[in-house]
Amino acid sequence: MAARIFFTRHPVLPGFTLSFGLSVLFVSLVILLPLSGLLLYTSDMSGAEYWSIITNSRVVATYKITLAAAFWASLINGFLGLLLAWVLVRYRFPGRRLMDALVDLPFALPTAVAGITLTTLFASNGWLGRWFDMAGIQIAYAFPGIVIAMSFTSLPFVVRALQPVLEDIGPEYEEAAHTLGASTPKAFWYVVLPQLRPALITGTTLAFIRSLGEFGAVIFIAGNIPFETEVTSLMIFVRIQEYDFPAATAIASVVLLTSLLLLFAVQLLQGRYLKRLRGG
Amino acid sequence: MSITLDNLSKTFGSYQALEDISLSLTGGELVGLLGPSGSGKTTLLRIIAGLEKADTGRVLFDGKDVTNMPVQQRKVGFVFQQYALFRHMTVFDNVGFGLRMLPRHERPDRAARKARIMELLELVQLEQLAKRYPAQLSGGQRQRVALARALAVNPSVLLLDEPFGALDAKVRKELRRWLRRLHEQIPVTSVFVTHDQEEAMEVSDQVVVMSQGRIEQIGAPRQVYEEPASRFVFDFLGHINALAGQCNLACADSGGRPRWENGVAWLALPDSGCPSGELTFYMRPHEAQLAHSPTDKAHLPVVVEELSVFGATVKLELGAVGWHAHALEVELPRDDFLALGIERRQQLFLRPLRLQSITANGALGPVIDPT
Repeated sequence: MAARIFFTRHPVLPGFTLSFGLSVLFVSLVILLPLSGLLLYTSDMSGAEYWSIITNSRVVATYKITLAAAFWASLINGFLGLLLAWVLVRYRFPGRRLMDALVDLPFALPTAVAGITLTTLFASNGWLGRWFDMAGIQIAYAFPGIVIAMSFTSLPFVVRALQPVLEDIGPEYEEAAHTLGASTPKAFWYVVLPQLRPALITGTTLAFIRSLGEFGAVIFIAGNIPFETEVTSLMIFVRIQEYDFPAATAIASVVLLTSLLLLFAVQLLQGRYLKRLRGG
Repeated sequence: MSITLDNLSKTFGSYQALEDISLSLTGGELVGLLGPSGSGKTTLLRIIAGLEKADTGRVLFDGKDVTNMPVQQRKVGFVFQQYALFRHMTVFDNVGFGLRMLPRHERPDRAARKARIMELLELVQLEQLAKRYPAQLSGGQRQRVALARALAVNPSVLLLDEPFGALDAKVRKELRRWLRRLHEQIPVTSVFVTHDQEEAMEVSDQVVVMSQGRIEQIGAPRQVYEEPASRFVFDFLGHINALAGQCNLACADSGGRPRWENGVAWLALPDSGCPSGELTFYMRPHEAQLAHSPTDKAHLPVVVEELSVFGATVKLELGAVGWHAHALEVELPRDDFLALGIERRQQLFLRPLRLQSITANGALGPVIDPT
C-alpha cells in the first residue's frame, strides 16, 4: 500500500512493490549501512580530536601525494582512453575484439596482482624499469610508480564512458566539418571533442575517484615511504593495523566525502549538458 | 559552375561501386541522381565532393582538374542524409561554422558574420529559431538548417545526399517544392541523390538514372520518362505491367501475319520489327483501356480483382483469364470507369494503347500501337 502513496503512475512491470523493496534493501545493506556505521564511528570523537587526526602532518602528506598522483593518472588516462576508444570504434583491424575485451582486464584482475606485476616490470632490474633506471628515472617505489598503478586500474572508466558516445557520432560529423573548410585538427577540436566532452569528463572523474581509493595495486609499487610515497588508503590500513579504529574511520570519511562530492558534481554537470543535447 | 566527370571508377574491396562514369553537368542546373540502393549514386556524390577518392578517372569543376584537391578547398556545400548538425552548437553557430573556419584574411568580422547568418536563416525561414539546439528542431527544420549551413560559404556546387529521405511524406512534399524555389533564388549548380522517382521527376532539371554503378540515361525528366533508353529505366520509372509471351512470326489463325501469344490471349504485331521467340511487352498503367469486347488486334481477357476509386483516376487490379500475367494494374479516368459500369469480379477485355517490346536478350524493341 505504501507504494501507492509514492508512485501514482501505474507500474508497467508486475511485482513492482517487491522488486523496489529488494532494491532498497540491497542498497541499504551494501552501501547505506556501512556508510552510516562509518559516520557513527567518527561521531564518537570530539570535533577537535577528529580535526587533529585528519590534519596530522603525515596524513596531510598522503592527501597531497594521493591527489597529485590521481590527477596525473587521470590526465594520462584522459589522453590514452580517448585514443584507445577512438581506435576501437573507428578502425576495423584483426584482434580488435580481443583488444576490446582486454580493456576490462584491470577490472577483472585482482588489483594486488596488477600491483605485483607492475612492480616487477618497473623495478630497477625489471624489463621496463631497467631502461628508465639507465636514464636515471626511478619508477617503482617512487611517485611515478603510483601514477602508473593508478592509471592502469582506472583506464577502463574512460574507455567505456567514451565508446558509446563515439559510436553514436559517426564520421559524418567530421566530414561535414571538412566540407565546411575545417582541417582535420580543427574538425577534431571544434566538432568531435566538444561532443565527447561530457563523456570524457565523466570518465576521467570516475577514474580520478577510483584512483583516490586505490589500494591493492598501489601499495606494492609505491614503496610506502612516509611523507614521500604513502597514499591515503594505505594510511587508513596503517591506522587499522595499529588498532586505532577511530583514526582509520576519520581518514576514511575524508576520502568518502571527497569521492561523494565529486560524484555528485559530475552528475550535475552531465545532467545539464545532456538536457541541452536532447532538447529539453 | 559546370561539373565534368571523366571515366570515374571505384571499387570497395571486390565490389564495383562505379564503373567508368563519364558525365557533364551544365552550371546552374539542379540535377537528380536517381537509382535504386546500391547503384553507386551516393558514392558518385561523395567523389564529386572529395569525401571519397575514385580509383581512376578525373573530376573537373569548370574545366579545372580538382581530382586531387582536398575536400576543404573544393568549396562544395554538402547536405548529409542525417543532416550531421553539430549537436553542441546552436542553429546560429551551426550555420556560421563555415564562416568561422575561413582563413583569417578571408574571414568576415563578427558583425558581418552575424549579418550573413541571419540572412541565411531568413532564407530558410528559421530566423526565430537561431538560439535553439538541433535537438529542439523538427526533421524538416533540421534539414533547412543543414542547407543554410552548406550555403553559408557561397559554395560553387551544392550536393545533397537523399535530402528528404528521413522525413515523412507530407513534409517531404513541401520541402521538395521549397528546394525547387530556393534553387531559382540561388542558382548554384546542385546535385541531389534520391531513390524516389517522383522526387527526381518533380525537382530536377536533369535526371541521371543509375544502376549497378553505371549511368543508364541522362535527360530532362519528361524525356527520361517518355523515351526511356533501356529496359531498366522503363522498369524503374513508374509502375509497369509486363506481358510475357511468344512471338509467332507466321500464325495460321491470323492469316500468316505475326502474332504475340500467351494462352488464349494474343496481340497482332506489325509485319516487321519483332523477332521470333520470347517477347515481352511493357505497359504503363495509364496506357490501356478496358472494354466489353476484344478488338481484331488485341484479345486479352481479364477479370477485375480489386478496384480503388480514390481520386481522379480509378486504379484497377486485373487478373488474366486463360493466360499468364503477373498482377496487372490499370488506371482509368473516372468518367471511363463510370461509363463502363465496372464491378469487382467482372470479366472484360484489355486494350493496350502503347506497348514497349522487350526482346529475349533484354534490349528495347519497337513500340507497338495495337489500337
